[in-house]
Amino acid sequence: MKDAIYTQTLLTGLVERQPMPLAQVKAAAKEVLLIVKDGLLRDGSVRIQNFGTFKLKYVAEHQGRNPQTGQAITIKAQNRVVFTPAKALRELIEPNRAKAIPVSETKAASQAVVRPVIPVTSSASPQVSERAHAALTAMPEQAVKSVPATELAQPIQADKQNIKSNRKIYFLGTGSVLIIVLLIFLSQKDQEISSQPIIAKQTVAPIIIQSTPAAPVQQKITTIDAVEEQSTTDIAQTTHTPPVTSAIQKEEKNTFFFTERNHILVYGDSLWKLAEHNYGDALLWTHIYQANQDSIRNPDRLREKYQITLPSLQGSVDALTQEDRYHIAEGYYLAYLHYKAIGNKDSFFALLEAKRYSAKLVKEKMSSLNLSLAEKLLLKHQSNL
Amino acid sequence: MTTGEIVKLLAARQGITQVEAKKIIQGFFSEIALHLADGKSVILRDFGSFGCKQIPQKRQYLPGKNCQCDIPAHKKLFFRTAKKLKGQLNEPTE
Repeated sequence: MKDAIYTQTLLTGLVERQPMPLAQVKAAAKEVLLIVKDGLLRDGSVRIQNFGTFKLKYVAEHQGRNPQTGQAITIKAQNRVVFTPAKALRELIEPNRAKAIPVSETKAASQAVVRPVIPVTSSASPQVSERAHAALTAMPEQAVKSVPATELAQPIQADKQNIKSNRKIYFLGTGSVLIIVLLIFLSQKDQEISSQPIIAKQTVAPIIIQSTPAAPVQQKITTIDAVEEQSTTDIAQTTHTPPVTSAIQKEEKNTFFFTERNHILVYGDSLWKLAEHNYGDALLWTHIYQANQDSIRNPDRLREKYQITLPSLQGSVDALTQEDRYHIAEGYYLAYLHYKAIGNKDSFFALLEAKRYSAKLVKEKMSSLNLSLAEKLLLKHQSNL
Repeated sequence: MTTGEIVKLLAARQGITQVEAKKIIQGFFSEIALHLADGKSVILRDFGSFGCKQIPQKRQYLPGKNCQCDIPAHKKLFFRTAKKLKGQLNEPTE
């Protein structure tokens, strides 16, 4: 690049304006650029006051062409840095930037005059399109006057009559449809009112018979009437439901509460949301994090269009098994390490949460952790689930 | 990440006060801005380069105004990422 400025000239200029040791400024400038890089990896965006923002943009793999030979190439998926200058910088570079002007209005006006003339030529022919007539009726009076009145008078009148008749048909049609709908609605209501008391009378007798302790198999083979009975009488429900639910529970015990499957990340996905949607409890997000610890570097920033696995849950949210708890606690432990490495003040809470799920895991990892006394005490008093 | 966070990190890593750190950061970026305003390009090794492009007048449809507009000639700022930074941001571990 011609007359480009490098770091050396930048910094000497800076030292001239603000008296500071050059070596210190040099080291600091190097550090600033490193911090910006770290910030891009951590948050995905770095905003500098009165200068602009650097943003990381993920671009998926796509097809491209070599501009010289025209050969097709696959461009790898990559992160790109996008810089958007701040308003202050934009104004500094171009102080008086002219605004965009709409294409001259004179042209638009001339087009508006020309347009109404077009339907006039078509109206001379016997078959006239409806659109042209609509345009004519909407046209200002002056434009109509310029056209010979005798030619236009008949088609306009005919058209007005047509519109009137069309309106009549429309109102009649909608009115009749509304009346029919009302009639159907009323008749159905009458049927309901008349049918309800009859069912109630019929159902009184069978309830009394079934309320005595009977085999659960017989209950399953109930008619539609019987189902309605249960909803009407509370006493019948309380006596019958327990054996049925226990049977369903036995079936569930053989299968997992949630079976493993893959998920491709889309815009707006987060581990918290995924856990809430799939497991019914957002606090289990570390279960997903633990299963994908090799692919997810930062749990707060997921990559779009990237495939992750949603691991299986053996027990339900209310009754987690020992293995599930261990996995979730391990995820919290990983999250603790991540947040601690970043320098997050609240990283310790992740460890507390890990102990809540599994005290066994925290005991195992205790030797590798360098905790302060206060933290150890807090951990001691953290209760289990 | 914002300027405040950068100031705190720089002060902690370099062992200087936050006031000094803020002065250095503001001075550094304002120096870049001044050179860009002169019409020169700035190259930061292993990070990237800033520069200005002259864009000629053109006619374009603007959805905000809902009409064809004549956009006057203007300058446009660009940032080109250095190869080293690109490599660091695209490490295969993630």
